[in-house]
Amino acid sequence: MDPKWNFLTALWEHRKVLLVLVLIVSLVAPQPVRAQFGIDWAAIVAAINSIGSAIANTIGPALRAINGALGTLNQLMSSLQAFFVNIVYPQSAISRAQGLVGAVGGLYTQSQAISTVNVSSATLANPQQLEQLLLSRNPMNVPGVTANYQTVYQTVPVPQNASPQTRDLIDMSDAAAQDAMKRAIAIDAIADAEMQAANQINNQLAQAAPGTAPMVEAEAAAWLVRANAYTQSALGDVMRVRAVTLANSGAQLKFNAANSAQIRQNALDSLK
Amino acid sequence: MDYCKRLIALCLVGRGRSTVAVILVVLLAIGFLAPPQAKAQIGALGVAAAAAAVVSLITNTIGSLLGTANGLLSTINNFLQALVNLWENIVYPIALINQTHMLVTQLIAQFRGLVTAIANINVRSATLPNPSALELIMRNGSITDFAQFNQTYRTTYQQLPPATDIDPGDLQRVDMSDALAMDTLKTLKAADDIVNQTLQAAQIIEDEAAQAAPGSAAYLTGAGIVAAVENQAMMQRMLAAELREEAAILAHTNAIRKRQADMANQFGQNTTNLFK
Repeated sequence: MDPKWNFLTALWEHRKVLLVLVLIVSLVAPQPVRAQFGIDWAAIVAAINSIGSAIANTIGPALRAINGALGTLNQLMSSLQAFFVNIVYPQSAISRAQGLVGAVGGLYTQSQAISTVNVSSATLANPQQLEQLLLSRNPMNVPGVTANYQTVYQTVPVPQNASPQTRDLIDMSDAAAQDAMKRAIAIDAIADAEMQAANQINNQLAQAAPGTAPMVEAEAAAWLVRANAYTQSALGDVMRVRAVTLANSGAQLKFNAANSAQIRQNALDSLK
Repeated sequence: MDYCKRLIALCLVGRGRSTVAVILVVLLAIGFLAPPQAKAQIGALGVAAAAAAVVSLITNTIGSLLGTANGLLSTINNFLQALVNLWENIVYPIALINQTHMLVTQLIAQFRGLVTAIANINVRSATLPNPSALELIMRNGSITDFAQFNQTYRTTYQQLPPATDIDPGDLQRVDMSDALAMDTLKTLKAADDIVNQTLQAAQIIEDEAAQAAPGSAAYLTGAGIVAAVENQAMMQRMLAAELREEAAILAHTNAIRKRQADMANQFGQNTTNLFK
C-alpha cells in the first residue's frame, strides 16, 4: 500500500484527536488581531508624533526651566533659613540672653532691698517723728511735714521779736527747707514706682521673643527718659535749696551792712 | 419536515458526518488564520484634526502659561537673591558681627581692669584713730554695720549734750542735724553697695555682648535700659537724701536766726527791766 495512503488513513482514523489538537492550538496561539485603524497608519503615527514633539519641545523645556528655578529658589531659601537660624537668631544666644535678663533682675531685687534699708538715726521724740516722715517714701505724709518741722525748728518769730525783713527771710528759708523735705518724700516715692516698673519690664523682657524684645526695650527706653526727667527735677530741687542758702548768706551781709550804717548814724547822733 | 430529519441523520452518520467535520475544520482554520478586519470608530482625518487641536493647546495655552510661570519664578528668584544679599551683606554682614564681638572683647581687656583699679584707689585721709575709724566705716559700702557706724559717728562728732547744758529747742535741732547727716552717710553706704551690684550687672551684660547674635542683642539692650532706669531711681534716692540734708542745714541756720531774734528780744526786755 502506498505510504501516503497509510498516512492519510492514519490521519482519518485519528481525526477526532486532530480536530481537538487544532482547536487547542488555535486557542493557545491565536493570530494577532488587526487594529481598529487598520488603514492610514502613517497619518495616525504622524499625529501622535506631532503631539509628542509638542510636549517634548514646548512643555519639556518649560518644565525643565521651572524645575531649575525651583531648585535655585530652594537653595536660596535654605541658605536664608540657615543664616537666620545660625547667625541672626541662634537659639543658644537667645536662651543665654533671656537667662542674663533674669540674672540682672535678681541683682536689682537685691539692690532695691538695700536701697530701702532703715537709716533712721534720731534719738529724741520730736526729731524721730520728723525723721520718720522724711524717710517714709509715702507722699500721703507730705501734709504732716509742716507741723513736725515747726515743732523741731520753731515757727516764724512774732512781729515784735524781729524786723519785717528778718521775718521775710526766715519765712522764705523755712519754706524752702520744708519744700525740699516734702520733695524728698515725693522723690523717694517716685524712685519706688520706677523700680517697680523696671521689675515688670525686666520680667516681660525675660520671656520676650527676639521679635518682641525691641518692643519691651522701647517701653524701657520711655521709662529711662522719664526717670532722667525726675532725676533732673530732683537735682533742680537741690539747686533751689542751695540757692536759698546762698541768698540767706547774701541777705545776712546786707543786714550787717544796714546795722553798721545804723550804728554809725547812732554814734554820730550821740556825739551831736 | 421529513426531509430535514433525513438530512440531519445523513450528516450525523457515515460519510456525511465526515464531510461535515472536514468542512468545519476548514472553516475554523480560515477563521483563525484570516479574521475579518474591524472597522475603526472614527476616520483618520478626525484623528489628525484632534491631534492638531491638542498640539495647538500645548503650544499656545499650556506653553504660554508655563512661560509666564517660569518668568514669575525667575523674578521671585531674583528678588530672593537680592534679599539674601541685603541680609547677608548689608544688614548682618558676618565680618561686622565678628568685628563687633572683637570690639567688645578688646574694650573689656583695655578698660575693665583699668577702671576697676581707678575706682578702688584708696582715698582715705584721716590721721587720728577716731576719724580714721569713722572714715573707714563710712566708705566700706556695707549695710550690716549701722550700729557700729552710729557709735563711731558719735565718738568723732560727740554725743548729744545733756539737757541741762543746752536749750531744749537747740537740743532737738542738734539731734535732727546729726540724724540727717547720719542718714545721708548710711544712704551712701547703701549706695556704694548698690554701685557694686550695678557694676556687676554691667559686667554680665558686657560679657554676653562679646558673644551675642544680632537677634539676641535686643535682650541685652533691654536689660541695660532697665538697669539704667534702676540707676536713675537710685540716684533719685541719693538726691532725696542730699535734699533732706540741705534742707536741714537751711532749717538749722534759720532756727539759729529765730533763736537770735528771740534772744535779742529777751536781751532788750532784760535791759529794759534792768533800768526800771
